[in-house]
Amino acid sequence: MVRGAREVLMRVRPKFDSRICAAALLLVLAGCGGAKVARRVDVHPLPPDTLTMRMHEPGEYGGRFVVGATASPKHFNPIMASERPTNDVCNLLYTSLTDVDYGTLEDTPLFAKSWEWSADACTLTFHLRRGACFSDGHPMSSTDVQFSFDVAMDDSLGTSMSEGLSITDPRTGERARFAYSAPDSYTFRVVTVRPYAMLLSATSTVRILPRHVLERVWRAGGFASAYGVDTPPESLVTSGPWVLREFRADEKVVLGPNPWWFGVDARGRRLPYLDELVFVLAKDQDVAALKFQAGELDGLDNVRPEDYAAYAAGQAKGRYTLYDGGPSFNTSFLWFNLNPAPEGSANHRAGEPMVGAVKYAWFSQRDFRRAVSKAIDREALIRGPFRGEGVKNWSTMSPGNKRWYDPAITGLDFDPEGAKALLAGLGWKDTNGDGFLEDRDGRTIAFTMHTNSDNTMRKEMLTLVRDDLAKVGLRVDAAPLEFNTLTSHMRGDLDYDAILLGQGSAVPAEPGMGQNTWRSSGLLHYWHIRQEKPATPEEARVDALMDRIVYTTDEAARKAAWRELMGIVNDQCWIVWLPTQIIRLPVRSRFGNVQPSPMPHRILWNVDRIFVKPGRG
Amino acid sequence: MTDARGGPAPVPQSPARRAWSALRANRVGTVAATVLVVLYACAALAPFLAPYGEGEMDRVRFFHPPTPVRWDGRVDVTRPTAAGVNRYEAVPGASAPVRWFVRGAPYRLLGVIPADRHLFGVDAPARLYLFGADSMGRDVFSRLLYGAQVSLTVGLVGILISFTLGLVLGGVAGYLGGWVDTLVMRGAELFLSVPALYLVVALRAAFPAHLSSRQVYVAIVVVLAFVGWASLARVVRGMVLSLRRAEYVLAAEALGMSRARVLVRHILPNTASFVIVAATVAVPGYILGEVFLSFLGMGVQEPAASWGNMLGAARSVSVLRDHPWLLFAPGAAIFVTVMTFHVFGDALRDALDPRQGPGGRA
Repeated sequence: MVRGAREVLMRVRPKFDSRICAAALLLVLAGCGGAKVARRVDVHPLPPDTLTMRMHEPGEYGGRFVVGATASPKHFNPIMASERPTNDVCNLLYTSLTDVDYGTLEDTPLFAKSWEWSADACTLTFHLRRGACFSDGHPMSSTDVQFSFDVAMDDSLGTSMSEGLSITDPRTGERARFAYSAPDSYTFRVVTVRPYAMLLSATSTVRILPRHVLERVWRAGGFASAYGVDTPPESLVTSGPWVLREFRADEKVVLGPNPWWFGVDARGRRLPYLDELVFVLAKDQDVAALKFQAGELDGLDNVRPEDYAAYAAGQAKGRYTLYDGGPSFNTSFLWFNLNPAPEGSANHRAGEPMVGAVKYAWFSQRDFRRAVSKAIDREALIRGPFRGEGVKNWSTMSPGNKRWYDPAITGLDFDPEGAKALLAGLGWKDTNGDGFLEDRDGRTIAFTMHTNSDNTMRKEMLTLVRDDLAKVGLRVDAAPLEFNTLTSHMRGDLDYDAILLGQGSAVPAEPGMGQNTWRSSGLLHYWHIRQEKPATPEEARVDALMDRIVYTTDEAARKAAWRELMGIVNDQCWIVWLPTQIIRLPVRSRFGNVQPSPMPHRILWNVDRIFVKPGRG
Repeated sequence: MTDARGGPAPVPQSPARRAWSALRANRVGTVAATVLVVLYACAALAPFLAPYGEGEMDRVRFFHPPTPVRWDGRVDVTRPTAAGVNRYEAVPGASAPVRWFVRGAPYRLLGVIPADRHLFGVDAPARLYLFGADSMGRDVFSRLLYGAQVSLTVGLVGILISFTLGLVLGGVAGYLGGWVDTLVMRGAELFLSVPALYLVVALRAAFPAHLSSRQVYVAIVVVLAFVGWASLARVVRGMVLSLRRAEYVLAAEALGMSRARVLVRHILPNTASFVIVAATVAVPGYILGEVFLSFLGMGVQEPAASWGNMLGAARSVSVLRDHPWLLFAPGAAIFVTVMTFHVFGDALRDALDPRQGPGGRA
């Protein structure tokens, strides 16, 4: 009896199911049709001064784009933001006066429709866009910009950007803040004590906040905790292309288009195109890769070169395109320790070379460093550790940097015979027949080279470099160290012979941001950090050139100074350059206007222009 | 005396002889022993057996897949293709015979005899990659042989140290008793109460981060031996406790033998059968310990090879997908060695079991 009932049920259920399926299918079809009809309508009038964004092709409204984030934003307060996940979201929510176009690296207008320098290059005047509005429809004006600068320079908040809003006054040697004023509603002026090349990019770090909402909070002393993650999304007033739709801690952040945004496409239609931009938590690169493969993410902003081939092969199946972002702005290099012992050093008298007199006598020879540069087979490094995805690079402005890369800046490339000749010229010979050179006093030229042990690519590079140097008679002991130990040697006790490491790019990626590296007083002046005064005439010249790069606004003069500066560095071979990686990133093929940049955030910098191609939603 | 079946009395055998014949009769044990002898011989003769040097790089062929040897004993000459980076194709019509006793990189056999002959090899431009090439164009087969020198001897040297420690400390504790016993045993328990992996990592951290490859080797052996002695000392102590009341011990004491002599001559030898088996079974632990340390980057450093760092270099998804030989070669070597030691240890246990009649298991 019971069994019979079950059989009946079994027989009935398939029919029942198929009917539900058919109904669901109809609903879905209807839903699709409905979405096409009810396309987003731009309700608010466009401002008189719209901003036409540079893009490959005009797109259509609709769709959503999902990316991974390594952590949830801590808050939505751009002035207080100090780490990557918060910055990534805040940069989309709030606009600034100007920005750098990540595609061309040229300065582009945002809220400032134009700007001009005074004749003495000390005053920068911005002309603001008329009719621009915050996401609540409240008009934006120079008072909002002034308010944002007031907050950014508020000492009591200790913001990370306030240091960047000042320069050293040549008369007093003190840091002098930028002066700023708002002569009228649509003009904003910034004044510095001397011409400052990076004034525009420094001012663009200040994101524009709604004074009408936050001034009371700031005056009451509550700014540091304003716009926290507990703010109801609809009450967050933003100035950028996006507004906050939804926030779920450690899960996702959903952004939607700002209905008042002044950016438009070539046909005069308001941006952004997408209905939703979603950040999904993906703790690390591997989790993000898995989520991308599973279709949960629409693009990745970080892929290891060893995985490029697999991504390239899976393009059709995974319905994505592996975009070529060009050479990375992150560079790789090695250097020798020329640091003297600091006061209070454990095993050395102050001023003595940290590496000892013998090694210092080797390392301080320009020809030795040049020989090392000539001994390194960079093409093998590209084929091996970089898996073919690398290019030779000779400065911090890599070939990927469209604005600052200078093909005239080159270094000493692979030439083992030349390297041997240089070493022989130092009087070094293999006297005991062990294959390694000895100096004039019969000491084998042997030293230790470190890199950080958590980076497989650098460890492989180190092994190859070791082999290259052995071929010209230099004995290198390769010794990967844990990253923190390595940096403590590098900046703290200065106890090492040579280090192979890399440097990430600053934003903006321009030579003026390299003061800490190239100035003899810099903490990242790797081979001899924090010099009281330049140790060599060449370094004195580099300091003078750095002054010109930072305190001149004429771009041609700055480029010439940069070329001369890198010419000196590469002639001296204080830094021995290694190749740099090519960036490739997969993004689903249904999205248009995707143009990955080597600078982070690599795929979101133009997400206001990304759209879903018609018929592929 | 005649046995139950009425045949002639067997020649009385010493325990060692009996164990030997029991082991010989165990087919699986014999095979395992042979494999071990071959493995150690390979390690000892690595420079001769390996066609290439430990760090010898082929800058033209990174990630070269294993080269098959054709039926006529020749290998194809390969070259990079334009199809992709680190992909190779055979050059049509070009091949080279695998030759025996070829001249190659000079080395010192067993660390003493200078030589430059290698068991087999091919002439340039062909390269013989039996197990493929790694990320730097180094022959995986050659590195496996060189790596065996580290990985296989770590176990032997390790047990030598830890068993000496364990025997002496366990023996003394059990024989003397009293406060010596308490002190040694509480010390052993201290070691046993800390999770072994943490102890290994902590002890390794006590050595300087950067050491030469020989120093690293010594450090690994010392660290592993230090972790391994305690459990053995406990068992030996227990055995000694029961042996010290045995009649022959009392007799030896009554004859006025010194306590040290009694311990060394009469008590410890009676723990031998247990110790030998325990040692054999413990060796894989040391081999895996080296793999573990090298995998974490705290063991043998590049460019020196060990099975652990070869495995460690192959721990990414992309290797498994694109260059699986980098994972399988050291993985298989470790697997075979560890298995063989366990099988051999088992056979040894059976052979040394005094309760078993002559001739092994019925």
